[in-house]
Amino acid sequence: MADITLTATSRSNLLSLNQTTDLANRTQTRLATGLKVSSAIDDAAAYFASKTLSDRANDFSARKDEINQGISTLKAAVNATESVDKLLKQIKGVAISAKTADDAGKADLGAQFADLLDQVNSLLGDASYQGTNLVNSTTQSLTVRFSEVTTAQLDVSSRDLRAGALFTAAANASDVGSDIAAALIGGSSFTAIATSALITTINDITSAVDSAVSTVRATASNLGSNITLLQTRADFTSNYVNSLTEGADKLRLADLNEEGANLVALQTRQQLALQALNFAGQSEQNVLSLFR
Amino acid sequence: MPLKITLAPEEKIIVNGVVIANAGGPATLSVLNRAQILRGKDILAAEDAQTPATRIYYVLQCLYLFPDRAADYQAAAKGFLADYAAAAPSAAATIAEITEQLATRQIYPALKTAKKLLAHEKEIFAHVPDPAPAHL
Repeated sequence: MADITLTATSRSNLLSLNQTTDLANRTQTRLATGLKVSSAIDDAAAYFASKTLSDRANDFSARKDEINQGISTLKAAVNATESVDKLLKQIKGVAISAKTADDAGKADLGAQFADLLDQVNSLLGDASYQGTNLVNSTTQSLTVRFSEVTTAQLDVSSRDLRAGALFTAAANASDVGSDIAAALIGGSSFTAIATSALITTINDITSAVDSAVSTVRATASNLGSNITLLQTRADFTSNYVNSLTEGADKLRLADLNEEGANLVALQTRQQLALQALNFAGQSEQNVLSLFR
Repeated sequence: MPLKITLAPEEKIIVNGVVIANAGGPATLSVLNRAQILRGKDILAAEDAQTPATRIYYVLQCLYLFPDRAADYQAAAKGFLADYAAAAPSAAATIAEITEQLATRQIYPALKTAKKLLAHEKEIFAHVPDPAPAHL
């Protein structure tokens, strides 16, 4: 090697080249993954702290999905109550019309009355979401868990809004009308009611429908407030997951300063290695030089 | 749907390898078929391609304008993109997007995406307190 003499500049260039290569190699692995700490070997404390944070973030993300499903379940139920509300108004209208109808009309209205009650029941039966129906029995319940703490959860019990349950609850037992209302629910007709009792009966029916409407609305408002609660919880969980992820990232991600240094090193390395962009052909050079 | 381009006086544009300058007042051009078109302001000279991101942009620009040597430029772009991704993992998403666009031969969109890389690099260089001198 003695017969090759390097100039001082060459030597310093060579040295710089070696240094930048070393720098690049040293950080290559961690940067390839985007992680400064990618295993416990790199920095045990930071690794495990970060892992705890990101695990918890993952757990909460899963919970968040559960909360969103809960919201959808409740929304399906609220939707059903709104439709039931409309049907009940229609039922009331039918009953009121029967006050002044002739016999044929009464028969017709009686059939409509029974049909509408059926519709209420069938609508409620269809309102299930992923197997949970919160409005057509009292046996189901929705449980939404917020975290690994067992008390951090929301339980919503189902209510029975089917015609039978609604009117039984609403009708006054001592009232003659209530029996007739019950009979109508069973499929009787207005024509079966004696004319003398008709007005009283229908008044009883309408007041029973009114209390049914208020029961339905109370249910809707209860379910709605649960939705708001879940929404708040979902928002909180989102933010919380963000904070956790951010914290975990701070511990593990390679930082921008380091990336900056690497880019500069990359730039320097390429310049030293004389990898200029001289691969462009003469025609390309000619064309591009026109833009100077 | 023709592409409508408005050129300011003196503005240059390259269409299929032909450099066209607007010698008169403001002019509007309609391009009726597909062509390799790039405005003067989007063109980066070889001397200005000094940093990792500008180098990527330059290569993609050549790939777009000079399809005759697409293979060479593709290979060069691949290498530069890999270098950049290794040095700055925070650009991984952008790099992936460019790679995807190159793979599906969407060269112009890739060039657009590379502009994001220029911005990213600028931001990252802002974090370097005292960059190494450009010429050693």
